Amino acid sequence: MSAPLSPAPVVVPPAPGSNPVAGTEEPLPLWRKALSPLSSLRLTVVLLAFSVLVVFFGTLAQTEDGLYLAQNRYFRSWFSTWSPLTEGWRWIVIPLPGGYLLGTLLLTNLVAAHATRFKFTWKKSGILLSHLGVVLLLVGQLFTDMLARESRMTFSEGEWRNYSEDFTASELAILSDAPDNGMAEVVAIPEGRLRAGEIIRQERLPFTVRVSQWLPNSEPIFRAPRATNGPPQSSSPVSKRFDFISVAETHKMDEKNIPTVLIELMDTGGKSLGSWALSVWSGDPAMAKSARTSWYRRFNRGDTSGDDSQARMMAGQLHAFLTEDQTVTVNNRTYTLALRPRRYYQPFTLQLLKTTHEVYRGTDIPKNFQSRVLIDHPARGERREVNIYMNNPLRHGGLTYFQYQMGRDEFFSTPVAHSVLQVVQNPSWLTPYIGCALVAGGLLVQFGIHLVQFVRRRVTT
Amino acid sequence: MEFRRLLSLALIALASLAWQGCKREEVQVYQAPKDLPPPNPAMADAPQATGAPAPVKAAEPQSPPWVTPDGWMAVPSNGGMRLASYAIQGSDGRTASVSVVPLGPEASGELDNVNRWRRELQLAPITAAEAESLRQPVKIGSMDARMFELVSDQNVLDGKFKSRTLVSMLAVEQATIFFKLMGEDALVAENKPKFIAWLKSVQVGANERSEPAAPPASASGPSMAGAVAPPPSTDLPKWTPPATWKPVAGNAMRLASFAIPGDGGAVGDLSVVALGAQAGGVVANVTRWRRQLELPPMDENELSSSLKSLPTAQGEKALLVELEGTAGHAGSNLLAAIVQRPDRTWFYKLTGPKALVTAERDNFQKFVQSVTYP
Repeated sequence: MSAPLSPAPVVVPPAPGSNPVAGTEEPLPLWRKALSPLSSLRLTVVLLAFSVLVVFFGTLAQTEDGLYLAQNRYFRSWFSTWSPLTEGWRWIVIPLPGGYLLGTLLLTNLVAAHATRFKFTWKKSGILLSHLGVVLLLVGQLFTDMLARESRMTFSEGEWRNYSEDFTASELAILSDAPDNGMAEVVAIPEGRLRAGEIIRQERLPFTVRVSQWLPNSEPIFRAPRATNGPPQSSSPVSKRFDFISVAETHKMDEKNIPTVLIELMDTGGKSLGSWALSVWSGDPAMAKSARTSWYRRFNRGDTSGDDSQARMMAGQLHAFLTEDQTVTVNNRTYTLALRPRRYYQPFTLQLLKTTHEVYRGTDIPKNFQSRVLIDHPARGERREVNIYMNNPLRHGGLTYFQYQMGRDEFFSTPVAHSVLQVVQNPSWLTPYIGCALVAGGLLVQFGIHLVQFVRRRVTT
Repeated sequence: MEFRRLLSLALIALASLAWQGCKREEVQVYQAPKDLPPPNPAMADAPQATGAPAPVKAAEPQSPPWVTPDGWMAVPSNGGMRLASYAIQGSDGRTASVSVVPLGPEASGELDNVNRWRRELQLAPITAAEAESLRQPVKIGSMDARMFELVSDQNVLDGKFKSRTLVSMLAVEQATIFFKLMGEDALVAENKPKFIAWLKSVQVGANERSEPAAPPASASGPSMAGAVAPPPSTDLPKWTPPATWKPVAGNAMRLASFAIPGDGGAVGDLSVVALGAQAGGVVANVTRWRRQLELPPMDENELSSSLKSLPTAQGEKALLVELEGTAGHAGSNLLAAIVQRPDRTWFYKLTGPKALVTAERDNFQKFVQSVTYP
C-alpha cells in the first residue's frame, strides 16, 4: 500500500505588520505599523464588494434621480444613502460609502500594500506593472473628475460661437462695455453664490448684488392684464409682462431645470437701485426660442383656417418681451444683467456653415448628423472647414467637439437649422487608455513569466 | 525613506485636489467679445429684444432687395431711421457695421455729407473740388453711383484702431439712400469687395418702390409696407365697476370677471376679454353668440344694423349687442359690448337671467363707457 499523498506544506505568509522572526529583527518603523492595517487584502476585498454595491444602487437610483444627480450622490461623494423607490418602503435607509471614499481607500490600500509587503523582484514585475495601471486608473479618474468639463455649443446655420455653455450650471452675468477695446466686460457670478440672502460685492461693480430668491426650476407665466394679478415680482421691465413661478426640480435626462433669480441692486450708499427678475428663460436664447415655439403652438391650436400669422405675431411679441434687455445705469455706465448658462470662452471661433440631417429611407431613424464648421483661430493663423459627425469629433485647442443634437426652429415658415455640439475638455483623457494598457501589459508579463517557469520545470522533470 | 517622501507628496497632491474641488466658487471677471445677433433668417422673426413694433400681418421673413454677403449679420434697426443694419465681427474683437439709411432729398449735398463723414473720423473739412476727387465709381444695382472712402489719421476707435468709412448714395424720387460701411480700418478694407458686390446686387427698382415713408417694420430688410401696430399693452385699463359687482377670479382667457348679484339669488357673469386687433371681426363673434343661444343666423347687413353704438370716455365707440335666449336657453340674456382699438379688440359680455341683465343694462353701459385704455 502506498502512503496517501499528503498535501504540500502550506506556507502561511506572515500577517501584515508582524515580525516574521520575532525577537531577531529590529522593531518595525512607526509608518509601517500605521500603514499595516491599510494594506490588508481583506480590506481590498471588502472595498471591491462595496464598489459593486455602490455601482448597483447608484444605477438603480438613476431611474429616479437621473444621471447627473445619481453621479453626484453616489460616485462624486464620500458617503451616501439609498432608499427603495417604492412608496411604503422608503423608510429603509441603507448607508453606503461614496465613490470618493472607496477610490481613496482602494488607492491607499494598494499603495500601503506595496509599501509594507511587496518587494520588487523581476518575477513580480508584471504584478507591479498591473498595479501601476490600477493606480493610474484611480488617480486618472480623480483628475478627470476634478478637471474634466463637458459643455455644449448651440448655434444656428451662419452663427459664430467662441464659447460653449454648461449643460446644467448657470451664472449671473453682469455685462458692460469695456472702457477701451470694444469688448464686453463680464462679471460672472456662479449659481452656487445665488442663494437667498447672499450679498455679493465685486470691485468692478459700483453696486452690491443682494439675492432675494433663487428658483432652481421655474416657468414664465404671462401677466395678462387681469384684476386678480398680484404685484410684479420686480421693478424690471420683464416683470411687467411675466411672473416666474417655481416648479418642482426635474432630474430626468431629457428635461432640464430652468432657474430664475430675483435680485436687488444697492449702490455704494446702500440705496436700492431696483429689483430684477432674471431667468434662464430670458438669458438663454435657446430656451427663449423654445418658449416662443410653445406659445406659437398654443395660440395656433384649434385654428383650422390655415392662417397662423396672428399666432406667430403674438408668440413673437411674447418672445420679444421675454428677451428684452435688463439693464441698470450707474455712473453713466450701463450694465446688462442676464442669468444664462455658464460660459466657457475659447480663443478661437467656430461658425456653423451647414447642417446635414439624413435618415434611413422611409423611417425617422437618423443615419447621419453632420455639422460643417469653419474654425477661425487667429493666434495660430488657422482657418479651415471641417465636418463633425457621429464618431468623427473635432479635436481642437485641447477640446473635443462631438455632434450631439440637431434641430430646426419650426417657428419660421422657412425653418432655421441649428446644431448642438458637445464640447469635452479632459486634460487626463489619456490616463484610462494608458492605465488599461499597463494592466493588460502587466498581466501578460506575469502570465508570460509563469508560463516560462512552468515550461522550464516540465523540461527539467 | 524615498518611498515615504513619495507617499507624502502623493497625499499632499490628493489633499490639494480635494481642496480645489471643495472650495467656494468665485466670482469671475473677464473680457469677452460682445455677443453677435443671430443671422438674417432668425432676425426676421418678429421683434427681437428691443421690443420694437411688430408687423401685424407680415411676420414672415422678408428678403431684402439685395444679396447679403457672407459674414454680415443682420441686426435690428430698433425702429429708427435705418432700413437695414448689419454687423461684421473681426476675429479678434474688431468690428464694423453696415447701414442703409434713407434721408430726404435735402440730404443729397455731396460736400456736406463728405465733410460730415470726415468729422466722424476726426478729419479736417475739405473743399468741393477735393471731395470730387475722392469719388470712386460704383454700381448700385444697374445704376451708376459714386462711393467715398475715408480713413482716419488717428486711432479714433478706442484709441487703438484707425477707422475707415465706405459710403455710397443713391438718389431716388423723394429721398437719398445712403449705403455705409464703417468700422476698424483693416476689417473695412477687407470687406470692401463684398461691399461693392453688395451694392451691385441691390435691386434698384425694389428700393424705388419701397419709398421710405415710414420706419421699417422689422430688421429683416427694408420692408416699409404694411400696417404697423404697437405691441399690445399689458397694462390693465382703468374702470370703475358699480359697487354691487364683485370681482372674481376668471380664467386664462379673461382679463377680469365680475359676479353680479340679482334678485332671488340669481348671479350674472360679466367677463372682460381682449383679443388681437382682428379677433375674428364683430360679425363673426356676434354670430357665434347667437349660435350659442340657439338663435337663428342673421346676414351681415341685418346683424350690423342691429348693433347699437355707444360713445366711450376716450371718444371711441362701443358696439352694443343684446340677445335673448330661446329654446333651451329661454330666460337667459346676453348683453355685450365690443370696442375695437388699434391694438386689440375688447369684449365685455354679461350673461344671466333676463331680469338681471335688463336691470343691469344701465350699469353695464356706464361701465363700458367709463373704461380708459392704457
